[in-house]
Amino acid sequence: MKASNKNKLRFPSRVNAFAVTRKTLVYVILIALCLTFIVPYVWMIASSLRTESAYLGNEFTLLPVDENGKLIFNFDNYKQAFEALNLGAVFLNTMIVCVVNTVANLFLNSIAAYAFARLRFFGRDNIFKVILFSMMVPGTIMLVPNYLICDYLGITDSLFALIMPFVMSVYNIFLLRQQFLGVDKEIEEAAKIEGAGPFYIYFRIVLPLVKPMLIVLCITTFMWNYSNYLWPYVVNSDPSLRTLSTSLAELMGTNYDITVQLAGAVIVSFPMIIVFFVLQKYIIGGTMAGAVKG
Amino acid sequence: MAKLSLRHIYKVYDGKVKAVSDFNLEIADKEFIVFVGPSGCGKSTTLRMVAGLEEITAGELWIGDKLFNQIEPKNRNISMVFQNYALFPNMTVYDNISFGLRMHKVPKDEIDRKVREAAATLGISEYLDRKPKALSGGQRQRVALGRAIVREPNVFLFDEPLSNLDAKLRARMRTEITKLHKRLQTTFIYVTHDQVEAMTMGDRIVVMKDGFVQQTDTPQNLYMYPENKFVAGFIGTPQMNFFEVTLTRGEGASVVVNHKHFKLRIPAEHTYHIDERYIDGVKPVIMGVRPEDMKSCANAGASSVTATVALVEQLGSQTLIYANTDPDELLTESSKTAFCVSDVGNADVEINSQVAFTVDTAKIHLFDAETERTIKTRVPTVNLSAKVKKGKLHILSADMQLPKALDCLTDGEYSVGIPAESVYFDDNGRDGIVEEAETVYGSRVYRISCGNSRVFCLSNEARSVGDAVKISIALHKATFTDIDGSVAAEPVQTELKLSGGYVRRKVEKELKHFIVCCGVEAETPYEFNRKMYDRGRSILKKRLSFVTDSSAIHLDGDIPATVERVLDYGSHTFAQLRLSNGVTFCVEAKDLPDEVHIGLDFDKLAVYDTDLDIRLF
Repeated sequence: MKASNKNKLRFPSRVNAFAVTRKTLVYVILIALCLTFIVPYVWMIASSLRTESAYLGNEFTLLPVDENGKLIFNFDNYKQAFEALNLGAVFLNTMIVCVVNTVANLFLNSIAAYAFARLRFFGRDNIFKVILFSMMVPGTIMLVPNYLICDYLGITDSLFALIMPFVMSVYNIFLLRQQFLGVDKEIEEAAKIEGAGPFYIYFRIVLPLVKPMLIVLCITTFMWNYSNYLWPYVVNSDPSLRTLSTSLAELMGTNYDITVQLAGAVIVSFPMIIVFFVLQKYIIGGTMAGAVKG
Repeated sequence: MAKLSLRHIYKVYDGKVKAVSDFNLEIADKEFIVFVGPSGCGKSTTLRMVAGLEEITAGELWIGDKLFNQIEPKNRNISMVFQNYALFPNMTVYDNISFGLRMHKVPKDEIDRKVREAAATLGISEYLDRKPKALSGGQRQRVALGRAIVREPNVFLFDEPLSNLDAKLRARMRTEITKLHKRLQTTFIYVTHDQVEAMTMGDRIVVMKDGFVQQTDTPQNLYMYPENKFVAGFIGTPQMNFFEVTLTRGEGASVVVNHKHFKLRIPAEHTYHIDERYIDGVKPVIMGVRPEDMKSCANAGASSVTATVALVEQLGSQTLIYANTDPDELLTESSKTAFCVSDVGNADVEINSQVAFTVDTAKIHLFDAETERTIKTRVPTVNLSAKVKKGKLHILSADMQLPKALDCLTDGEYSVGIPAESVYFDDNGRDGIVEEAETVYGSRVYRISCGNSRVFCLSNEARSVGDAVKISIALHKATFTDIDGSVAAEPVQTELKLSGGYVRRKVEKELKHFIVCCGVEAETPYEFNRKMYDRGRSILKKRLSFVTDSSAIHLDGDIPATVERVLDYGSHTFAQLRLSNGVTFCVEAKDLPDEVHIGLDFDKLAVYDTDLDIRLF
């Protein structure tokens, strides 16, 4: 009997207690983190669909329910939020600022980054170090000097004031320079020998090779401009020049129901949510690249 | 037509790191030239200067009859294949190949025809729609070749194109590139660190080390006549064996090679090219023997080396035997007694056994232990014994009147160093017989016996072995050394070297330029100034030296000089001139007054940057 047990065929155990524990722990942490980010947003959406009385009457819930616990979808909140935000004009302002800024930002910063990566000119590395040093200065500190410069230039209370101070980004220059340094120099030299001029090489050979990083920077720059609140609030006082962020802030300070205010917040955040889901692979890739190179 | 001429090319990085030094090369149309050398020797830098990807610090690059130093790479009509292929990853194979044609605005249907032709030639027709990342290494290299050939350039440049391929594919691509060269009939310049690639592909090979050209020659000549120890060791697999030896004179005119563990006898007929000064039993010499010129043999003989076998490698068609004349020494690369023998077939040799190896003494190479330059040159300077007695010079078994210029020689015996270029055919000369004739670097070199002596003659006149000839020696090129080794008479110094600078100043409201050298001043012409200005403003502050040969000096200039003495060699008469700064040199001239004014031919004046030690032009 013993002998037969000894000769019994058994598959090796695939379960490793340590691995299972580690994996479980990782999942628990990840789920907890996800919930930390998702729960407030779900709560915001659910609350934006409830009536104010239901919102004030009930305890914490992640479902759009009334006082009796019955599901309701009060889209009237959204209608009011649309009107209160002056969404048409504000959205147009925001798009003008974001698109123009993103295009100008990527164009100018990529050219600067390429120059720092490839061209040989006097003091190149020292200039780059000085530029990098400016990253150490917090943005808020620059608020007052920037305002004074814009005021001196007479461009306060204009959309231009929301664009011009931010067309150059040290962070973008830095990231793009690192990308350009990673491009095989021989590719550019081959193009040069084959008869391509410097602009052709830059636009048709080199830029396509750093396309993933350009997309990431395009998204992050767009998002930054989209959600920029402090600067538009400081530099523009004209209501016709409101952007989504400042308009939403204004909505928060009015007597509208809290559910209407939450509906406004959902409306403002919604385009960014879509952008994130569509382009999330680039965003994650870009963040990783920044982490490694930086 | 793409004849290339690289003249005194230098590349200096950041004003201090010299990557390429005084690179000179004439490349004929349709020639396949290979630059070979270890990493960091400057071969790729030189190629990149030809391509226009690196600026030339000094020197001239001529393609055809045009100076190309300042021409943009795209206007040089060259194509280059890179080590990492340098394909455009965002384009298809078709777009990659057609790139250059599109840049040069070639009509679309012609582009299509040429791309498809090139693709068919290289066997990549089915991959035209693919992106480079979907291709293997060999296929990518073919695409790179396609991009290069489709434009039909004047010159093809290859920068280690096969380095990233595996051994089998590399061998195949090597053959294909050779075939491509034969088919395209265009000038190829190929850079590699692999000497097998160099030997199998090139019409001529340029061996480089530390930025300097070591030797330029055909593969066969590099193998047979290496000019220094580096070339000898670099060319040939397995590497040449080196031994520290001394040389002594043996029976007859033979030479004995003395090593601490063996002696070899080089028969007289193979010793004529050896520099006599080393056959003294004292000067250390490095002997080089290729493994294939040594064979294992049953019994030790007069020209054999007995050694203990340390390792045997059977390769099928040949056997590599690693042995050591000193059995106690380890078999390392730095060992001075270890060597390798390449025996044909499967040699029956046992490890740790004592084996005799015969050496083919005709194929022995000898190098100076210090300079590592060969002392067995193809165009040697021979040292003959001569005797001066009562105004007569006895040389080459005959007497001649001692020229007045050599009056300084007292009666006695001398050793006379006679370079090959000082010997010339002369109907009034002494009789000789041509014993050997060969072509070296485009010139004919003859070994001529006159009585018991032999001299070498460098000439473009055609003679055959066995011809009776008459020769003379241009004694102004000979060096006379007396018995105790001191030089009694040197060759005539015809080179003028001036150290100084380049200045400009206003003379009568007109800006003029001068070279100024310790009190000697000469106004420079426009063309010379233009070349100097090309070096930038800093040229006015640099320490320079100006070198010219007396053939580029004329006697109707404005630089004062005094005739110090007249050197009458009979067939040639020279005047030794002294400038006001004390510099002396000789010009070939007769009956000059005591005071003359010389002028410089600025077209032939070489200018050197003294601090960087580079020739500017």
